[in-house]
Amino acid sequence: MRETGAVPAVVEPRRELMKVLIVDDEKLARDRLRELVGEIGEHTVVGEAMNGSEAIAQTERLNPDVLLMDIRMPGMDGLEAAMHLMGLETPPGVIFTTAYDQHALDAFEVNAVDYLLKPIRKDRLAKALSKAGKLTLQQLQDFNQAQESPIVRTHLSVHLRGNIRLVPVQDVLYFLADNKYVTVRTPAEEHLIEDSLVNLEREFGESFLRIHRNALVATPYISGIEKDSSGTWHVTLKGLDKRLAVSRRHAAAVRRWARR
Amino acid sequence: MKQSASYYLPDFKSVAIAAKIFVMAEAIAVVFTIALNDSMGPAVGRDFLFLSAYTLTIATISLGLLRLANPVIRKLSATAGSLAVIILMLIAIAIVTEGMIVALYDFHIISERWPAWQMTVLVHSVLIGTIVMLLGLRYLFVSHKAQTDAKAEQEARIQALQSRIRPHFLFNSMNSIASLTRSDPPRAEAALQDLADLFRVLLADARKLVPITAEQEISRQYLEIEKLRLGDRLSVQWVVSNVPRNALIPTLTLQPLLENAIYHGIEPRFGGGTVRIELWVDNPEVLNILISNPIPEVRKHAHGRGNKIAMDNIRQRLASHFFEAASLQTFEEGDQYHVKIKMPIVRNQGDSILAENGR
Repeated sequence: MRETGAVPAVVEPRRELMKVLIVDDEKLARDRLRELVGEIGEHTVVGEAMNGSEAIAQTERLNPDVLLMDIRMPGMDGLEAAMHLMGLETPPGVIFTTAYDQHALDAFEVNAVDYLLKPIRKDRLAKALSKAGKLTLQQLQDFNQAQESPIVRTHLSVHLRGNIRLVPVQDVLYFLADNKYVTVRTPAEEHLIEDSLVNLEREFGESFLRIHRNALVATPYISGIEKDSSGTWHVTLKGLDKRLAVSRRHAAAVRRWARR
Repeated sequence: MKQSASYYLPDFKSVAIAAKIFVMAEAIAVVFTIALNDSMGPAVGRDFLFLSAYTLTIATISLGLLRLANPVIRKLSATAGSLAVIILMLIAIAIVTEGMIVALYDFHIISERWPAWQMTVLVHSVLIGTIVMLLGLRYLFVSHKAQTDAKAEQEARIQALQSRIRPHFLFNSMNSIASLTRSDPPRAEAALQDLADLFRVLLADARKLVPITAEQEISRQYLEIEKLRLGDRLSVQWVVSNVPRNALIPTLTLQPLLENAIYHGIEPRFGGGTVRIELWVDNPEVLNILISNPIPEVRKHAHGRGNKIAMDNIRQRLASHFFEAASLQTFEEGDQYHVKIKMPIVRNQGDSILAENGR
């Protein structure tokens, strides 16, 4: 795949009017997209957002068909926002806009993720909008892994009745796996997410410690480790009465961590 | 097998090195023939033939030993390898010298098996051999260094270019300007002019010294372009005190550091922040540059490769102008990231070379 729109589109342009949400932290970039979409004439811009979290909020409120979204933004970036959005029942299409990053470009191509290069050209934007395809979370994750330095999400998304609830990763005390779901525990709440501990460990491994086949614990919240009468080690957490059992297989690693 | 860049010893199996050794051996024979004979006579030819035979035999045996030992030598460090080469050649000299005496005795050219001068000849040969070898190794070392330096310079140039132009900045600026051509053509024009000036400097010779005022100007133009993009999120504070207007600094010392400050410190922050540039002069005549930016709340990536390249590039250029007298340091203090440069003040006036370079 080339830059979206670079190849003549074989797909018939969509007849229906699309609702477009523009997401960019730079005002001039948003202005330009708004004007270009206006000139193309077939679609309406329903709103603007300045970063990833705003994009999610606006998407829930305005229900756009497609997002034109910058990747590099302060706070939550575009790629993370797109990942969270993919959990919606009918996720919007996402076309990334980007200035230049050779590694990201390669990753776009490999994973067939739509993108537009800045400065954005009207004809390419028109083609991109006319054939904006649906993305999958898997595609975005593969794209992220193909980048030179993959992002680490700042939030987890919990999907409730078509809404996205964002949980800051820094609030998470531990992840506990159970069959298909993973329980995310924060000081105040518990959430269920569909993910695997292996994935979570790969992404957040820097601040989480595996203590059991089914448990990952946030190291900043660990207050101590202790052994009970039966010889099993437990991890105690700040601000939580509950203790978490350390499996025999992970005991050595946990004690090594504690000694540091 | 991995060899460090400083490993200069050649592959002794190569034909080139064999040729070099034989030429050197023959050269020694010529030198000693000339030294031994005051005038041209039949003795010259005889001495030359004899000395040639002697040195070429040493060369042949040395080469044989070196080729045998080649796999071992290549596993050693440069120093140990050099030592091994010297020892092997000294062994060759000792063998050949002894062999020569035995041969002369066998052919009844000399009457004694252990002549009184045997020791002298051996010592002389070893001394001469050592000196010649040290020169030879030195030659190999210097030519190897010239080669690697050329390669390193090429790499440095590519890196320098990357450190000067962050494509991210270029294309985002162009996007901003494209947007302005519709909404605010005069501002678009001004931005294009700033961008043109900036690129003229970026593409010029990065080795020259420019008046500090010129570097300040280009930095201001650069910051203007960034303000287009970032709007209120970027604020800039200049604090300049007692800096002589004709002080010279390496071109593009400030601008790349400001670009880093914005890329790593301002852009990732939701509310933006302030980049502070302080310039002042200490006694004795030292120019201080301090650039500060806030550290972002969430550090998604560590200060990346681009950052390091820019810093290394500025360090190199400072060193090439001022040697140890200049320094570039980075440090964090609370929520602020600082880059501090110290360099001696060089003035424009009265120094024609600097004036010319500085234009």
